[in-house]
Amino acid sequence: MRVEPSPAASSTAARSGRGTAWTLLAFFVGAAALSTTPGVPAALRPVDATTPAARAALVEQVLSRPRTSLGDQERRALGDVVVDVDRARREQDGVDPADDNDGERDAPGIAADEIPADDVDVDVDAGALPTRREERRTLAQSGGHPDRGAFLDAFPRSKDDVATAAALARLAMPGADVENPCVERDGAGGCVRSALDPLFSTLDALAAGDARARAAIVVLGNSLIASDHVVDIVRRDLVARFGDGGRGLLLPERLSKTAGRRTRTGHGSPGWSPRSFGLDDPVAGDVYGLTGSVHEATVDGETTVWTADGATLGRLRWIDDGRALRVDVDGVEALRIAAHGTPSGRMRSRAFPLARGARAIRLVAARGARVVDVVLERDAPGVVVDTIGIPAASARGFVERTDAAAFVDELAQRDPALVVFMLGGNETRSMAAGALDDARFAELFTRLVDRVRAASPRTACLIVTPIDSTTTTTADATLVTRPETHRVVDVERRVAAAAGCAFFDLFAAMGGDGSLARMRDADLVSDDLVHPRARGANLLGDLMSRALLASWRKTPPAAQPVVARRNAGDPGRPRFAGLSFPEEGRAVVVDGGAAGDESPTRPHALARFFARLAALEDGRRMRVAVGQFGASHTAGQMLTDRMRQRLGARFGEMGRGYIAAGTASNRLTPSGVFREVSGAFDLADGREVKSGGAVGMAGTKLRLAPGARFRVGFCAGCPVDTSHAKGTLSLSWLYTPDMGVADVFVDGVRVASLSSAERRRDTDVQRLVVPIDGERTTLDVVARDAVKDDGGGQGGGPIHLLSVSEEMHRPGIVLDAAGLAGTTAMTAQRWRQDLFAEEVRARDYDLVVTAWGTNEAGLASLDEATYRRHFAATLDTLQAASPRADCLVLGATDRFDHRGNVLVPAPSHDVVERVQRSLAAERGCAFFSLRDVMGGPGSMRRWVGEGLARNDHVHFTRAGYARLADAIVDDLLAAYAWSSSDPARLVVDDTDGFDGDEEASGDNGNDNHRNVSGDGDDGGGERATTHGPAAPDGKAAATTNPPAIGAAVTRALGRQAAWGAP
Amino acid sequence: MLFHSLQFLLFLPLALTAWWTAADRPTLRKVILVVASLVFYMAWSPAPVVLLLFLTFVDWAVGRGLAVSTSTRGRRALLALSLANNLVALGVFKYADWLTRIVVDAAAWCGVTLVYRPLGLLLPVGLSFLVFQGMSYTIDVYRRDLVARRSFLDVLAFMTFFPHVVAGPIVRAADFLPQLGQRPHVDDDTGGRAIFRIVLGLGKKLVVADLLEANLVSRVFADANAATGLDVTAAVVGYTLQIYYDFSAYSDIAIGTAALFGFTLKENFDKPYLSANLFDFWRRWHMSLNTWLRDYLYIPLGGNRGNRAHVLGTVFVTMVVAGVWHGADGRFLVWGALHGILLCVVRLWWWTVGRAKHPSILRTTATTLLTFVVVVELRIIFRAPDLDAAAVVFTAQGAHWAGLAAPLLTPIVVAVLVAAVVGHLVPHATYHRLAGVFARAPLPVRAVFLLGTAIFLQQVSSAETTPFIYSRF
Repeated sequence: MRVEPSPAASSTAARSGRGTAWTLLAFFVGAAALSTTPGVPAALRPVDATTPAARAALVEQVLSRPRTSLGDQERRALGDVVVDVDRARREQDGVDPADDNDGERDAPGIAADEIPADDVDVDVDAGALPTRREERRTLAQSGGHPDRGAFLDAFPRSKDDVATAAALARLAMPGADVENPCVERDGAGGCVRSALDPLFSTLDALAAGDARARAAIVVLGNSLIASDHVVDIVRRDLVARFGDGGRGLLLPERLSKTAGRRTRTGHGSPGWSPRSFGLDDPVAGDVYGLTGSVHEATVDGETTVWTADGATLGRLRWIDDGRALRVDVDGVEALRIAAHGTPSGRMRSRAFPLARGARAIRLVAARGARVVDVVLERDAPGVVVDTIGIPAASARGFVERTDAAAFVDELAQRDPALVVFMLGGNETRSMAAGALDDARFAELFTRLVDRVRAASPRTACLIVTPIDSTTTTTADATLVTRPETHRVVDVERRVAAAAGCAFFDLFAAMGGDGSLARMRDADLVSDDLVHPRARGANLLGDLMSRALLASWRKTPPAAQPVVARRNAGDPGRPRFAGLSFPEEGRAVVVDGGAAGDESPTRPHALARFFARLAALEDGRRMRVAVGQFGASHTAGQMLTDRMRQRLGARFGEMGRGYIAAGTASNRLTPSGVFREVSGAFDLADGREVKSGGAVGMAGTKLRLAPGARFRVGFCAGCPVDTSHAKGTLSLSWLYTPDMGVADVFVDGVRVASLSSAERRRDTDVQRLVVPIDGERTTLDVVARDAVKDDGGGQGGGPIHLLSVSEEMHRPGIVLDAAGLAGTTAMTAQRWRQDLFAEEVRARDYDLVVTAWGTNEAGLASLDEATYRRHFAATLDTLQAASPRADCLVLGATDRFDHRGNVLVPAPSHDVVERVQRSLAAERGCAFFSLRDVMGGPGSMRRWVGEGLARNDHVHFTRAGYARLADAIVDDLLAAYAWSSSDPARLVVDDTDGFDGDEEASGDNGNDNHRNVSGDGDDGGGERATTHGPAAPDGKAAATTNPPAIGAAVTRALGRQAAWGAP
Repeated sequence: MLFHSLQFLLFLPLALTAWWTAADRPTLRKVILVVASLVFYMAWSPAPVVLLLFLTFVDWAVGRGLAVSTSTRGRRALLALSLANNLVALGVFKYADWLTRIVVDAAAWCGVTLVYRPLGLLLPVGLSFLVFQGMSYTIDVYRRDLVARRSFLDVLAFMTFFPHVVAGPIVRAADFLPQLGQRPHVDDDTGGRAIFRIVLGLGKKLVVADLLEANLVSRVFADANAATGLDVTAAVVGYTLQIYYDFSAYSDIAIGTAALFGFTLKENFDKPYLSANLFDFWRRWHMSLNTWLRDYLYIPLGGNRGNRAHVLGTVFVTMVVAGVWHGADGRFLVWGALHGILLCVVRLWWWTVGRAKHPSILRTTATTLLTFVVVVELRIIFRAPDLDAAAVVFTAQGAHWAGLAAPLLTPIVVAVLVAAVVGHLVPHATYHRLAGVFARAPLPVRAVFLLGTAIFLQQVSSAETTPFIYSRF
């Protein structure tokens, strides 16, 4: 509104403007006084600042960011994945006022459920209950039986519980018990099994912490639950107490295009054409199964997006009519159904991989493709509740308009512990219209129950009666309960008794006759006087949930409990704590006609490594080498020491393996290694180099000035070895043009010298291999003083040492730890890659393990693309240098960072894990989630509390590292056992030299040194080609690098010395 | 930060104190103004300020280049650089995903499936306004209508001036920069009127716009099928009133706040719903945008020159641009295009039938009502979440009229609707007089009035205040 300056007014106004300032000052002072002075009526306060809490709230309000002004158009502009995930999550949480209308709006003869915008999210508030697994109580045992009451009582009543109880009392809703009859008795008449035992036993297992237990509940119903009302409360309460098993069965879109919540559907593009048996005439080729519906894509590229919400298992169900379908997980193709010309017209399903941490599942359909549903579950213990609510559904519809085979197949695949029937509302009206009689309804309902029983014989069943139904649909008229409601209830009760199902009289629980009128008066029923509004449905759900839990509480446990457990795609596949394989994250491509329902058995990422372990166990004299690269978790040695110990105990240990050249370190002491440096030296730190840093594969390099000495000893605590077991020390050093000369001593005996004259041509990384007698040994490198330099053209500069490795000539495992604290996979890219690769190549690994990630997770602004590029490059270097090795990517551990006195979760953990999982899959590496075995996000707090991790919330104590190592080794051994059980899962490389002749010779001329030569009588230095000066006493001889010999021959010679070829 | 927030209530006196303390030190007060503006802007999110600074720097640098360049080609290149820089920023942050999706959908329609990974960039608050202001600066300098500023601080203050940075009015450099160089001055009359205007804006926003949104508009547009025809019609009219009261409230607060700093910003509205035809409407609605489009798009494209087809085409293109300016969505394009078409129809009518120079009151009333109906109906497209939903609202207007049931038209909603209509009919002079009364009132009266208004707004405003609608654009 325009307010033009007034010349007349201006001329009479004060010119100074002070009046304006005083006005504002007076206002602010007055407002402050009113806001802070006690005793002022609340209505007269501009804001409330009378109490500390109120003031704190005001401060928070001032410091908070304004609400985003993002408009709908910008939301859409962000694209499907980003926007739809957030939107779908809100909808899933019941917070989408714009769409929150019940699904029956378009149903002929069924009026809509008008849900006010403020009436949507009061129901889904699981926050009042502990939902995280570690926060839940476990089931106590009382007298040999689980104490269900104590378990339930451990959950405090929330404010919502109190409010709900008050609302139920106000509406005179008395509630009711679940009638849970005994369905099997022993000879003495005692009850062996009640109708709900399949569910209750599984709940027992979940409450007791059974990691594989899974309580799936399938609810078949009509419009009452089509938008997941009522059932959502049951799900909320069960999941809060027993864990979340995943979202379960979801449709591509709402069955009504313009109404209904999307809590149980994806967020689809506009062109989906949904059809269900309740309302629509089927199109030729439609097959209605368990969900009673299909969604047809009417244009090419139709999409729908579901949020994963922690799902790790996915399965798509479609009708095979030759149309193409594709499922992307976070933008990466996970399943492709190719178009083909031989459609079977059958309903088919296919599992697809879901990486942990996946966010969005996007389905893209070709025009004409018909999709039934998608199932998303977590590979975790918990409850999964499928809501199948078909508008206008009846028992007859389920029995006569669905395909029995498809229905049974899918229900069997869902493997529910309980099937709930929530039907009868539409039958009530049919009876009132004279279109249905009691006997026919009983027959149809019995057939439906029988069909469910046929699909899943051990499943419990629960029949829930319809809610109150009135004789008028005119809002102003007096509401009278239909008498047919009682008939329907009676029929359902009889059917339940005859079929051995439990029974819940929801009609009685809500107050029987007149209860809908009371709900209407409380504005809890929509204007159609049929469907409750969201808040009304919440009360009904609460009645049902309370009754079910009360029944569990008071039902005696079954004598012979049968627990429903998750059945993985491969029945024989062990359940891993943190290990996953790339084939499980690789897209499944189905060439239409060849599609089956089961995934083929594939060799997995560790097959070669396991094959070598198997050979070891078969008695072959094999060397199996493992190299782990990473940051402080690796550099600390505690993790790898434990892994070495565990694997060594099983497969034999070849020795300590790799030790980076460096200063004294207590970390090495437990594994019997001591290291010291004296004289003038410095240690190049890979963290400080900018680019092209000449460091070893552990990120360090020791530079000895003339006169300095480096000493490393192995097996320091071992008793004096009199067995004279043969072995090898391998010293890795770096050629530099200005280097001086150093002498190498083994157990005090000079065995070689290092100088630029010894340089090989192809690389700057030089190796000196020294045979040893006995594992307990000491190696010294002494840089000659410049004055003692014998000339020879040496530069007199420092000696650059990288590492020393010890391996004994016995079959077994050698496990190297090459770590530098504080580094990331990106740091490794700053080092000279040729040196890095050469050192790795020289170690000739069978398994390469990366253990970077925890430091990256703590970076506040980690760019995903950049990290991906660097990690991929590092992985490429490692894999290229170890062409025959399998690889394993260890994910980041959970961590917190200190911000002042506050601990905040690592900001980039999800990015790190996503990149690592993705790259592991791409590069054919196995992945091990350390965070998962810790207990998931936030678990570091618990580890610190239990003394397993340090107070920095990043590193672990020895016990913590041991637990992590055990988890890794346990999974590896489980996977190894699984692989060994089926030769198809093992990959035997023909070049790996399992041939007996090669085993005898150990010199096959192709860089294969993998077989340990016979009996250890290798002749040591005596028969080795020696390029260094011989030991004066002939005790040991060393092989160093002849400048004139090519790399391949050099390596062969080196290994010939190392392995003592005859 | 939002004008109707506690943050702003604390921010404003601090900024005013600092500003007037440094009133006699030009550089310092500009620095204070820029800092205050950046604090205001960064309250949403600090990151976009980088883009804001970058755009401003480029525009300033281009301005400097234009000032020293004498080559026509060079000047054109510099202007092109500025325009490209601004439009690319707008395109990337506002339109890239939308346009990409159009291409992908078109390809899919042709049977080609393209992989689409949205950029997912959040639209910086007020970017559309900033870009238009930046372009106006360089265009004016290029046209030699404005002398390029040597001081980057001046241009930065112009671009970031917090009262209008989020949702306008779109300020021209030629209007603002001369004021920036002068010592600010506010007398009690101006100051009192400014405060009154701010209070008026807050009332329009919190009492009218937000209450209509929460109690009527959002409920109907969430599911028009569930509402009666009367409710839907009331909601459509209600939205038309809401968007005016919302946006004009922002302008009121912005203009009032600027006045407290001694700046005069141009008006943005002139009772648009009393327009006798669509051209009149566009002269009265969001005047700063429409004069911008007139000066920098319509006239350069030919304006009223050329043959009739050209004139009609220019009108249409300008309105399409005006529509898409509001957001990256087909709805806005359709909305703008329909306005363009109807403007062309009006123009054709005038050309063929003629335009009455002195229309009768009856005729004026009829055309005003017709214009209002057109504006109201087209607002459905503007408000609905998508075109399908808009179609549902259009249809729902004609359904469920039995018994004239209107459960959403509660007494408070009706009262607000009536107040909104009456408020629009009240002449400017009345507001002007009321402002004068406030400005001349004794200090205690003014203070009590403000306190009473604050308490009143606190009590009657919707619990769920919403951001200003145009801050999305």
